[in-house]
Amino acid sequence: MKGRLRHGGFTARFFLPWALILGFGLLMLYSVTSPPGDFGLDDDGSAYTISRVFFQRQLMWVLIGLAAVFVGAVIPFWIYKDYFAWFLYGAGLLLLVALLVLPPMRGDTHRWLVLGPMGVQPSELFKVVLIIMLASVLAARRGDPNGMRQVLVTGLIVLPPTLLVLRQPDLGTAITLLWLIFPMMIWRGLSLRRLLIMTAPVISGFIVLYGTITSGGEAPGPGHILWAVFMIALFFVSLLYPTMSVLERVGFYLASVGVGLAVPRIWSGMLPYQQKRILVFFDPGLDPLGAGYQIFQSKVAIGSGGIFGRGFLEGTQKGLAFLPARHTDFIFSVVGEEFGFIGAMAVLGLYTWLIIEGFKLAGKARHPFGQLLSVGISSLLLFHVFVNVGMTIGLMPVTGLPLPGMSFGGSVLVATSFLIGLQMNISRNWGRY
Amino acid sequence: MSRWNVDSETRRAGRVRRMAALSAVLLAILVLRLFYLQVIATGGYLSLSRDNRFRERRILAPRGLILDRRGRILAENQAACEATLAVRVPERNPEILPILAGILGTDSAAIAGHCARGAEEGLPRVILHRDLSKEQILVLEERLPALPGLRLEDWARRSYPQGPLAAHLLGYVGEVDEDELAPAGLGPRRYRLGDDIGRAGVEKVYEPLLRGHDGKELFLVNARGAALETVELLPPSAGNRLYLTLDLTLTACLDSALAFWGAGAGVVMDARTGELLAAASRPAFDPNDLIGGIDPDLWRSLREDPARPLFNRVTQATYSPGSTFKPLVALAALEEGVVAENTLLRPCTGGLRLGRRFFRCWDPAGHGRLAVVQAIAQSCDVYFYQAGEQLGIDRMARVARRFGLGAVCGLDLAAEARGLVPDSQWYDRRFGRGRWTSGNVWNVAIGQGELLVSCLQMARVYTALGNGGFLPVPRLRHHVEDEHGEVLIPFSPSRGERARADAAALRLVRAGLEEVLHGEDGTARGSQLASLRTAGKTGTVQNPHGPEHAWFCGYAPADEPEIAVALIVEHGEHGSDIAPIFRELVNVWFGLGETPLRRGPRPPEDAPEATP
Repeated sequence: MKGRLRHGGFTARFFLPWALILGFGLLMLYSVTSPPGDFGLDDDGSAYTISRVFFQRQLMWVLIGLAAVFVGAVIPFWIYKDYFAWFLYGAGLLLLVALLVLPPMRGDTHRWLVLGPMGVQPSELFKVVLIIMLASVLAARRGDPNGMRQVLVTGLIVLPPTLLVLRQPDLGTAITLLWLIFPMMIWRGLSLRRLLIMTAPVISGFIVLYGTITSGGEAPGPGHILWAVFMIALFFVSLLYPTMSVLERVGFYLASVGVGLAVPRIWSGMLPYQQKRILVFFDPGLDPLGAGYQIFQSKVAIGSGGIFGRGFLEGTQKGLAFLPARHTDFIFSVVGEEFGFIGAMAVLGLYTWLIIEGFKLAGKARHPFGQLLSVGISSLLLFHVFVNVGMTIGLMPVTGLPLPGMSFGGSVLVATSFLIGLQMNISRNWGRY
Repeated sequence: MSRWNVDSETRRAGRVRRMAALSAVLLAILVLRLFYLQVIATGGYLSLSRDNRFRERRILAPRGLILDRRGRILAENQAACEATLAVRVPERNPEILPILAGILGTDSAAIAGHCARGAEEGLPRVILHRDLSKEQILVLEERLPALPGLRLEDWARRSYPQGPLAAHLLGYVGEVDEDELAPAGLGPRRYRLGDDIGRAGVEKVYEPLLRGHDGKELFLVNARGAALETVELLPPSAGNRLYLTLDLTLTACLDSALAFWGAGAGVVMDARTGELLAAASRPAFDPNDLIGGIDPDLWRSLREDPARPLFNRVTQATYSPGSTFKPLVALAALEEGVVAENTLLRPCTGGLRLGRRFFRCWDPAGHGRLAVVQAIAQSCDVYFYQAGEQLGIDRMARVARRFGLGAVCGLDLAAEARGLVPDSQWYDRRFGRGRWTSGNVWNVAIGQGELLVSCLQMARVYTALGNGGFLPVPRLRHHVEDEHGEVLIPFSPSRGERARADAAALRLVRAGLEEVLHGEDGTARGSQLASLRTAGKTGTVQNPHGPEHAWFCGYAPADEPEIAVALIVEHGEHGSDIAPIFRELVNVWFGLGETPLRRGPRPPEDAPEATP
């Protein structure tokens, strides 16, 4: 099966959608940084407009991103395997630790590494590192993908960076890192039932938390009934899954029960402001001046776009500055307002194209390392798109995850571009490796 | 390689499908949600985006003017300037409070407390001062840049250029409060908290006509709420102009006369249509003091003043009519055949005995034997004791009711007093059957006792006596024009219902009333005019609280009257003393140019008899 260079050098399957996404992103950023035009200026100046400088900087980042695509595509991807993966992982961890030790470089969080005029978010770059690391380790392991060892090894790899990123604090990125485990382990052969049993304690905790919040912590509400149903289902799944040892099954089951019983006590032990933070995370409407305001304004912008949108540069909600963070996390709201449902479908279509191509590539690649890399990259994109777009339309909490390729910001753009380049690389060499 | 590393093509194809399915499900959720937001619910979000971008500002419509019948202004609007302050100022810019306090003449703590109360009620701004003086406006405007949160806003202040003149009829406006908004059906559509609304008098009765339609301005704002440009302007339309039947000159004449006497009321009515040409109640108040937030001390002093300046003595106060009631008794006696034109009753010797009690005539010298015309002219109590005795209480009550006593007149002004016309049923209820005597009847016959009338009712009685029995509905509204001067409601005079009255009897009564002024022995002969024959009747009413009240009712000219007048002066002592007011009103209205009489009490002639 020699299919080398079958698609020529740069594969249009990945480059074309990614280039279109980058181009569309620049267009939206141009719109967002346009002066408010007909609407006049604020009486105390134009401070609420977003400077054209952001567009110019993004243009520069796109050029660097294209270079990153090239780098990703031409350096044979298998050199990242094994030793180099460990090296990248170690260096990345050190960088994350250093970031926490050093004083905050931008704002009051430890997210940024500032080098002269450039600001980099190492956690964004670490997503790349983690994908390579997980792909390398999982590809090299010969054992049972459903065994405890496999789970433990993967967990030990993901947990340290996750905790470090959580400390920055950057909850969105931390959850993204955790998320990468599941698609990559499933690809490696992890059974879904096994996954269910192992994640049962977490799911149990969330259901009980939901029940506690909605019922006010007293009488059994719909959440508690849901929990009971879940625990019964889990019992049968555990019973009917003989490949797992009895000890493990009983252990996970008891852990689920324990978490379910503990959560209400932890909740009632929390201080009101801590409770509120959790409540707002689940329902931003509870904080109408903060996260709730952002979600509301974003929904207004997108909803008012209708089917065809207001037209390029015509968005009133972005123009009059009702949309918050409209050049970064809420760039999709501007797409929805100016290009309507049609435009939103087009953008989602481009991402879908890119993601599905990635999964198809995983199916074709010969070596597990290439397969896992491509699965990881597509899963990462899927997660970002779902969480970011879901946030702008009120389905997801405000986590601060950017829309790769469109949101303003260099780190994500360069990191994702490099990953797309890697997929092109794998695609170019799928028969060979 | 173990079995885990060399997956079959089919196993991998299955995983690809699984991953693609997961992607499809997640993206389908996004698509469905976007479809809902942008295709199904887009209308709602479109209007929300409008709400985001546009703010509405109400432009208050000026209230309609109130004018007299000749177009002279009784109520208008004056530009005023109020100072409002954002409630957050005391915490954000506490340094400006002392400056503000200095200019406005209060202290910082009071302003801070005011803001705190406003913030508690959820208001963004509070009013610091409703009506700034010119000097205050100048100083504040100059320092405005250094006073963040302060805003000067123009508003139209209701103003009554004639001051207390006809204040009880015009009424005044006040601010709509929360209690009124919901239950009164005023609704949030037309009124908002703090809007002016008629509180009394014509301002209240004609509120719907006087209130204008507010305009609105729609303007674009950015996310900070800064106004960028006007998008839509709907100009306000002013309230309608209400022309009253009052004549300012005549009202001023009446008012100044009553003011001289202290307390009382007067009405000049068009004897053909019932229009109120003049009306006044004293003591009065200046409605200008009640606009733009009443000073609580002033309000208390007005309410607690024993002279009751807020009380409308024209329509709401009731008094015994005294001798001014006698013409009705005479009319009934003639109509019922109790007396004829020349019937002489028992002679007046200064009084008449009833059982063990002696009912005195006002003139202790006695009037001798009088026929009906002279009995009216000289107001002989003894004659009317006998006429009343023979008529009985019920026939007297009937004639009183026929001329509108004991019922509201229907003037377009709220809260008219009905007065009281007692009959045998009433006495039976009041004292018990058989527990009341002819004494009560005798008292009613001379307009004393339980009989109670208002000044307005008496003006109507004399209108009907003068015009041959027509009982018009008194009115204050002449006509209504819209803001551009187009007549909205035209003037429509009406003679009213005809009270049943025997023409011959009425002629005799009117002859008696003319004799009052022009006869040799008339009780008000001192107030006759040389160039016009008038008719009227004096009245003096005993009163437990002090000196007697004085009445004078009449009409002019005597043969075909154009105006009818009723006057009551509390503690005026003698009806003849206030007859000069009548003379002067006629003098002014007909432009006769005769020299006014000297004001002041005159020698006594018409004292009441006393009954327990």
